[in-house]
Amino acid sequence: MAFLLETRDLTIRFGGLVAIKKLNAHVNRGEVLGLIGPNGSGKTTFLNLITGIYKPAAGDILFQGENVVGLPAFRMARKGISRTFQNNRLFSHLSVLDNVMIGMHHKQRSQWYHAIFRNDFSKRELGEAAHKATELLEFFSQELVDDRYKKAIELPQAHRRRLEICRALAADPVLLLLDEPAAGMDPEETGHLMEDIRKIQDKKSDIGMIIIEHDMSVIRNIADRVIVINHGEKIADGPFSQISEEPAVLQAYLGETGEP
Amino acid sequence: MKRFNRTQALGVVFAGELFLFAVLILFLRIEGAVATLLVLLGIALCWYLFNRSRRLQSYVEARFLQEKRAAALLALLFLIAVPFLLKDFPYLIHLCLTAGIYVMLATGLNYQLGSTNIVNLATAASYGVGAYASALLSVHTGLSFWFVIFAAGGSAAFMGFLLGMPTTKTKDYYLSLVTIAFGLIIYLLLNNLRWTGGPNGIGDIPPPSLLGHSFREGLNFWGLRLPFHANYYYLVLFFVLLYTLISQRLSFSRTGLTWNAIREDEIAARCAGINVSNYKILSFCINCFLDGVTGAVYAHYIGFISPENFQFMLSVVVVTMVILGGMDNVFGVIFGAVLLTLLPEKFRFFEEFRLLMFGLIVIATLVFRPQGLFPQKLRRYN
Repeated sequence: MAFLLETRDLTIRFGGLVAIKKLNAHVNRGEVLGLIGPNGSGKTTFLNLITGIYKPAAGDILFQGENVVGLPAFRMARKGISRTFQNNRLFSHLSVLDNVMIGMHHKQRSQWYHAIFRNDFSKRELGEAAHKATELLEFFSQELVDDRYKKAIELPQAHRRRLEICRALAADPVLLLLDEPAAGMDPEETGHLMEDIRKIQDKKSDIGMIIIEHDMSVIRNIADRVIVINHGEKIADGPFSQISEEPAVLQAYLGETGEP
Repeated sequence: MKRFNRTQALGVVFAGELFLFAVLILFLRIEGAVATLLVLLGIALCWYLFNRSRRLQSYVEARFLQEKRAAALLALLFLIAVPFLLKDFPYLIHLCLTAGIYVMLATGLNYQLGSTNIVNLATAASYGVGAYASALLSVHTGLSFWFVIFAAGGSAAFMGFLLGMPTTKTKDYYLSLVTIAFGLIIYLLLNNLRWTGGPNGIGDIPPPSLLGHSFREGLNFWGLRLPFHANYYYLVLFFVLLYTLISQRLSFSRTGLTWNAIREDEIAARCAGINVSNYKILSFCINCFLDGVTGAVYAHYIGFISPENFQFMLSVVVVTMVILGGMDNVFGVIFGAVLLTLLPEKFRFFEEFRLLMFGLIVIATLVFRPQGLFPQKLRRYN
């Protein structure tokens, strides 16, 4: 069976800098892929390529067997790729519920003319969406449900991350990309995060995930397979136990061995 | 939710609205700078005290919310009564309907500036295109006003579409610059084309008529004569109510929510599957359509239009109204528009400093209360 997502020789340059160089990677259905590498190695750039925020200079992106390279971000999202961002990108001044409902955007049908001329339809759809959004919030935490009419910016950091994951899941994605979900969290909150990720897997067993994370305990516990990139190139690919032993990886993280 | 005693709640609603209208009429009727200033200070003080006292605020608000329908009906009755109270002062009725026209422009711009954060400084252009389209059509073809307004809206919406296309590739200040340039182009075209009458404009635009009653004639209610301005006052009132209704419905819909998402974070909006360009162009088209209809109403009221009516300054004024009133709060925007129409009229001796005042208002609002006098309300779903 084809991979859920596959990149072939994916390359992007920013001016003279080759940020991603001929990267071949894939994710299977139901698999959690960890993506690690030192700062500036091109992990987030890779996600930006997959989500269509950047256009690659060369290479192909195959999603569910279809070449989707060059599609704009909103089309990628409609194909079923959802993501969170390294620094929260919530809709800060909208309510928690509204944030999740915007995640459902492309599942809804009503248009501006419905709002004006067929307001009942527009309102009904919005009401149903609000109901679904509440259910989704409830699935993760009752606290988010209690705070659903708070502005997103008023939430504590850990809840904001959770909300961002909810928003991404609201689109009912096939592939979920999490960019440093545990950044700035204490060990307890990180534990909750890992539980949340397990919950997502239990709920939707065929969902694929890519997680970028610096916290190796998360990667070790969650990721089925890990890809290590450095300077935009893949230097290792395999289970955590295997890649953590590889000399190339140790060298990328710790520098040249044998020097003072 | 807790239910309040019906009569008591209705009493609060009635008292509140009566107070507001008394203030409005007083403010309209007052003359002389010192007296106006005193009244203004009084209003500001009331406003301040009302905002200070949380209890009073929630007390009034809860009762208004419970008796929403009654409150709306009562407000409508008061608004209908305004020309009767001012029947000996045609100029004041003119002032009210000018305020109404600005309300129409501001509610239109709110879709862009308030909902989507597109600082469109081409209001004058879409307004002008609508006014000219309707004037040219009714002068040359003699078509009825009621048909011509749609043509005016349509042509302005088409202009909005043309303006929206290039602006999807730009952002922030650059987008505003594009709209400024576009506004200038329209102004220059109106001024230099032969068929728009050049700087002389278009005169003798026929007044609308309804059921055989020409809007140039005064209204007669069982011996109570109202000046002809009252016709237009009711016309504008009708449109203001219509625009408000549309505004309410749009902002509480998937479309309004999507616009807000684009305003808050464009990249996150894209990644949520929103076609940002389409929604931006949509906001241009809707805003310009409404501006176009407003332009048609204005042209048929004034009877003579020239490019001077559609200069850049007008766009700045409407932007100021939205910023002061409150981004994406329809009632805030209405308040801002009425206030900023009436104030300069009351301080005519201050005319030369008008631009300066508007600049100061924008700066003061953005520094001290960036969300405007009435901030956007969170949507609530049952």
